[in-house]
Amino acid sequence: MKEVIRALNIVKYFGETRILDNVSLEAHRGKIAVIMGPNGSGKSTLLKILALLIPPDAGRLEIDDSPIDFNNELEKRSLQKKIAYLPQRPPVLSANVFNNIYLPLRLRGASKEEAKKTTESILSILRLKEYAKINAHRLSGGQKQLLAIGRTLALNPQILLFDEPTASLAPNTAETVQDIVKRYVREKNCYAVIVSHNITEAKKIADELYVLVSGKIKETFSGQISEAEILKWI
Amino acid sequence: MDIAELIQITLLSIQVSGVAVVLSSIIGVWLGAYIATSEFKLKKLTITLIDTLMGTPPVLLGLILYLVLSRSGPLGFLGVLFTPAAMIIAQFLLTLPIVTGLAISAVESLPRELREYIKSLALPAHYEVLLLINEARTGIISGVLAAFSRAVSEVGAVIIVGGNIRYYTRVLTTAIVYYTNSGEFDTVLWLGLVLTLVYFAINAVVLLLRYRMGERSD
Repeated sequence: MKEVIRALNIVKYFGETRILDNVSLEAHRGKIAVIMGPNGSGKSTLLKILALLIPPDAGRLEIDDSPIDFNNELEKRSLQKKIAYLPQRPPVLSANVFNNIYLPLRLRGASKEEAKKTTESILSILRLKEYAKINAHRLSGGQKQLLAIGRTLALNPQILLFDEPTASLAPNTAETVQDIVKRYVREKNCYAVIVSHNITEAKKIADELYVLVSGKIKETFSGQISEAEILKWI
Repeated sequence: MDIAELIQITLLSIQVSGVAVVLSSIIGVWLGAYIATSEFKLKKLTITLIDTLMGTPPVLLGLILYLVLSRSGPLGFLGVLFTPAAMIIAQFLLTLPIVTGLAISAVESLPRELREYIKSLALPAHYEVLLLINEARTGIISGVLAAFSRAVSEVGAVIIVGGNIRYYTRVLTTAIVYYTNSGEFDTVLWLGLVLTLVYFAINAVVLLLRYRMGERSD
């Protein structure tokens, strides 16, 4: 069995518009695949397909050589438990900061003790401990983003699908998040597909980079990533 | 009409409408949230049907229920016609589509990102629905309030299936009809005032509840 997430010739329409046009990509265990591209190129749609939130109109998705059946709700749910999907503007639950991490953990079956311990440790790492009792809606955009990333990693996912995770963060916080994500992927040997607009970030974290323009993969880099080559497309 | 009778009528009104709305809320909120989160073939048709039922004329519902509950009807053996139980059933059926329809709207109007996030958690369906209900609680409470106002001010169905029996099935609205027909307009005005106060009190409690909930989550 080959340990890889493989999207093969994915096609997606919204109405008459072809959002994704035969897109293929691979993400390997312990490595970070980054998708870059201009606005409206279909990056977020591709990520939602990988997160099994929307089905493709054509093409195939395989995880560890097993094709995914988008009509099989049971299979989808079981896989989604391994997936952590972080949307572009991550929402927070109408609860305090602590419960935003604690509740999903409890609902996923963690014991009270375990959930409490994990939540406290994540809040400490993200320096959000002092906001624990505050309604999450009252946090700044950057703090919400941090909370969402922490909440996502707390669930111990095997597949990270992040849509511009550092977009609303200050540069130093963004770097911390990049380091956390990179370390997580290496240590847990998990899959990661990250959408980014930031070339510096992409160069720093990407093991493989895909440039998506108008729903088509225009360029694929692995190993040495050339900024000039990327800029040509974006 | 003496004060004791007025109190009895008022309490019965609150009891009948309260029980009916509690029951329709328990079922309607869950049903609405499930419909809003599920994908099935006849979803649009189902929602259209629920929206249509939200406007069911109470008199028509009362008539149908009368035929069903009367001695010769299919549920005649229950023997609940002309009892408060029949009035509760009528108001339950009247308010169920309202609570369900407004719960669907409340859940569907949550931000797409939030719904996708909750879905991506891959929780058991009832937990997913519970989280969504919590997020949409403001809209859902408004729906329950709308249902209660519909129930407490409704007259057509309860007069048919309750029979407006003094000290037994007479509620504020049916009493207003009775005393209007008798020409006792002073009593009618008092009953109208009490009905308004009941509705105002329920609104105030809900407003306080919403305020407290907002404060607690802060």
